[in-house]
Formats: sequence, structure tokens, C-alpha cells
Amino acid sequence: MTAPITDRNVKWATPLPDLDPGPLSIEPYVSPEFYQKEKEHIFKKAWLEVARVEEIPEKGDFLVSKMECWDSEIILVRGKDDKIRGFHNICPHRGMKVTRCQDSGGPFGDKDVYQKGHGHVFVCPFHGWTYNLDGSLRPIVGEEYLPESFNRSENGLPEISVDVWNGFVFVHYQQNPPQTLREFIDPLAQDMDDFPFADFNHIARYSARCKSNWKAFIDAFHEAYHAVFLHGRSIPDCGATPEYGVPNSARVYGPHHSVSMWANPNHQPTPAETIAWKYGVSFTPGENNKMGGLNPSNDDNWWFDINVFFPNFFCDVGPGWYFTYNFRPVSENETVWIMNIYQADAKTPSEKIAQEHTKVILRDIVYEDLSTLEDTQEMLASGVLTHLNATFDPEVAVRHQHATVMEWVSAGEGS
Amino acid sequence: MSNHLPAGFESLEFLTDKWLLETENQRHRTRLASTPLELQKVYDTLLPRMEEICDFLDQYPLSDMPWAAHNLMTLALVFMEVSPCIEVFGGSPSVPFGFEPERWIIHR
Repeated sequence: MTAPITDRNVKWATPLPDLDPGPLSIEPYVSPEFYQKEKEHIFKKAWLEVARVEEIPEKGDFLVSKMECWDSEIILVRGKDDKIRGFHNICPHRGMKVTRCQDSGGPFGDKDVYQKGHGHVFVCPFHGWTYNLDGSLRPIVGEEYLPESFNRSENGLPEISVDVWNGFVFVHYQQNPPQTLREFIDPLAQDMDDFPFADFNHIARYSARCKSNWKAFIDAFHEAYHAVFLHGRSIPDCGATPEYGVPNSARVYGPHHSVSMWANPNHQPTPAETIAWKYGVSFTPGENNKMGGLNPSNDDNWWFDINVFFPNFFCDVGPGWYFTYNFRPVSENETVWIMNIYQADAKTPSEKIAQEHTKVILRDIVYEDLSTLEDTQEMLASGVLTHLNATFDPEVAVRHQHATVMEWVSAGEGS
Repeated sequence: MSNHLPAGFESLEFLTDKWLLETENQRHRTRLASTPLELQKVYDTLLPRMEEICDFLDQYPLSDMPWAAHNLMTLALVFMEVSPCIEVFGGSPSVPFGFEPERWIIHR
């Protein structure tokens, strides 16, 4: 018998749901039919994070984003009343996209993420049907040729639901979602409410298109077990300290969960890290400055919290930074991944130099995280295996995500 | 030699030919296109000066730095960019066994 990794147990701050301890079925990671069910029963029924309010700061600012999981493309626009609304990018006349933004999306833009624009109205490029920023259709040239049954007020842009939490813009496919955003994301959101999101600047965006199932992609980011091996280079003491593989604490909130990472009290900083910690904050384990909204279970040797909003949004928070991941499924074996890093406003040049360390080391660590995905997907699809053997405590987030997906899909199929 | 840097930092001047790069994407792509020896030279040159650089730059507000100080700060950001190569990746410009850099988009 081998010795346990650590005598420290994961602290369960919420009741642990009744998770099947058995092997995990591979079908949800490889089956096109299963993915069709996920689109119907998960992505059209959950609140999905798509942007931050600062992306469209002025009235008339809008962004256009592919939503492959809805087989659609959406517009998010800040109206003349300052309210953010969302629409499918389709003209109810003959189905053309009402806007084809040519803008690259500013310094952080890319067509895989979204494109940005600004205007007072949306004019369909096909016949010129024109829509106000609230989606309503304006008087039409040639309206007299439409049948009497045509009602302009019923033919605005098809609307989606939009709501905002702490500056994060979420959308819902349904016009009258069964739960408000807050009802859906609490109490996880409550745990994070005191974090000063509004004081942070967006300092980096990375993205990649990867031949990986969206859940396999997510699974690479919400357990620490892999860090001991995969990150043994980028975080040298990880390789020598298996304790990193067991989180301090975990919380399960309905479909969402949150896992707090253990920090090695004997971590030996590199010279660059030492400079970063002298003048500011780095990503590597260091001092916890007791910012609100962190470390909800008051762990000793706390590093950072991985907060996972079902189905496909992460908001990981640490002392002086936070970063987000969006995992946008394209098909059963392809995902667009987007990472955004935010840091507290640098007050001095040296603080900015320290922050550069956070960004660079975090980016290089995540390069390692993305390295296993396509090889894994290729072999999962081979059909050689039918099940996966996840551990329990260290990989509980993988199990919980898997169980939640199965639950939502079977509930949807049963109804 | 032209003076891109504040007085007192002349010995770093040779780095300005290649490394006065404004964006993370430029610094990262240049790192990837460099040899391990070049990166080692950048690291070894800047490491012993980093605290001095930080303390020197802090006499200026971040939003209003003189041109030469701004250049010096860019070199400090370059130090952070190359530091993982030397400190943890054994000199490798790219992340060993990492995702392909050509497919990794840095949006700025």
C-alpha cells in the first residue's frame, strides 16, 4: 500500500452531493448526438457569461459574438437608456445578419472572440430594414406591400435575456428564463460579492481554437491533481510537493462549484518572483493581503480560488488579480477558449513591472494546460476505452461537472 | 551609440536594438524567435539591475514618464517575459511540451 499524498483532508464547506464514485462514461466527450442534447438541454437553459460591461462603455456601443452552442450569432448593445440588451443577429425580413461588423474589436479583438461597433441604429445590409438599439423595427420603405397581417411592433430583432453580475454580462436563450441570473449563480456569487471587481483593469486576453470537447477542456482547469506532474517545470516545487494535488477546501452550489488551492508555505521564489513580490503581487504563492471575496472557507496556506459557473465560465480570484476562462463549444470535439486577466490598478511603474510577472508566468503555465487536450480527444474518440478513472477528492470538480451534465441532459430528455 | 535610456543605464543600451517592444505579443514573439544564449544574455544583464530600475522608475508617475524612462521600463517588462525561459524552462524560448505558440493568440 502506498502512503497518502497528504494527511490534510479536503475541507467540505458545503454538503457534498451524492456523486457516483464509479468510472466516468466517455460518451459525453465524443458523441455528436450527445452534444446536440447538451445544446438543447444545457446551453439553451443556463445563463452564459459572454463579456464584461467595460467592453461596451458608451451608449450605442455594441459587440457581435458567435454563439455556436445556439447555432447563432448575437449582438450585445448598450441602449440610449444605458441598458445592455441582447439580440440574435438576424433580420426578421429575410434572415440576413443585421450587422456585419468590420471592426477588429479594438486592442483585444479577434473574430473568434467578438467584434465591436458603434451606431445609433442597425441597418440590415440587404433591404435596409432599420432597427433601434432597443431592437424595435422602424418604418419600412415599401411597408404598403406587406400583408395586412404584418405587424411592425411584432417584428423587432429577436431578443435574448441579458443580466449583469459585478460587471459580468450573462445571456440566456429564453426570453423569460425560469430563474433570474442571481437565483442561478447564488450562493457562489454571494461568496465573491466583496471582491473589488470594479477596481481592476483588463490587462491581457489570450485565445485558442482547440480540437477538444468543451468538458474535457474544462476538466483540465478545475482540479489540482495534474499540477504535481504537468506543472512540475513551470512551478518547480509543484513537482517535488505532491500536496499541491489536494485542494484545501471545496464548495458545491447546485450546478456550480468552487475549489481553493493549497499554497506551499515552503515555496522558494525564483529571482524574478522575488522582485515581483517586493514591488507588487505575483501569481505564484505569496502573501494573502486579505482582499474581500477571497478564501471563503478561511483556509490556512491558501493560494487562490477556482470558481466554476456552470456550464462554461470560470472566474479565478487571487490577491490583486483575477482571471476568467470562457469555453465556447463549437462541436463535440472543438472548443474556442478565451482567457482574460485583470489586475488591480498599478499605482507605480514598479507595481506594473511586478504585474508583468503575474501575467507572463500565468500564461506560460496555461500553455502547459492546453498541451494535453488534443491528444486526449483523439484517443477518447478511438473507442478503445468506454470509461475514465477519475480520483475522488482531488478531481471532485471533474466528477461534479460530469454528473451535472448527465443530470441536465437526462432531465431534458425526460421532459 | 544613441541614448535610448536614462543616464546611469548605458550598459543596457545594447538591448534597445532588439527589445524596445511595446506590446506583450511583440515581446513574446521576439522571445520565441531568440536563441537560448540570447535569452540568457538578456536575463543576466537585467537581473542585477532590476531593483535599481524599479526604484529609479518610481520617481515618475506611471501615466507620465519621460521617453527614456519609458524605454527602461520596457526593458524591465522584457526581463519578466524572458525570466521563465531561464528560471524554469532550461533556456527554452517556448514552453517545453506546451501548446503550439503559433495557435496561441495574444490579443495585444
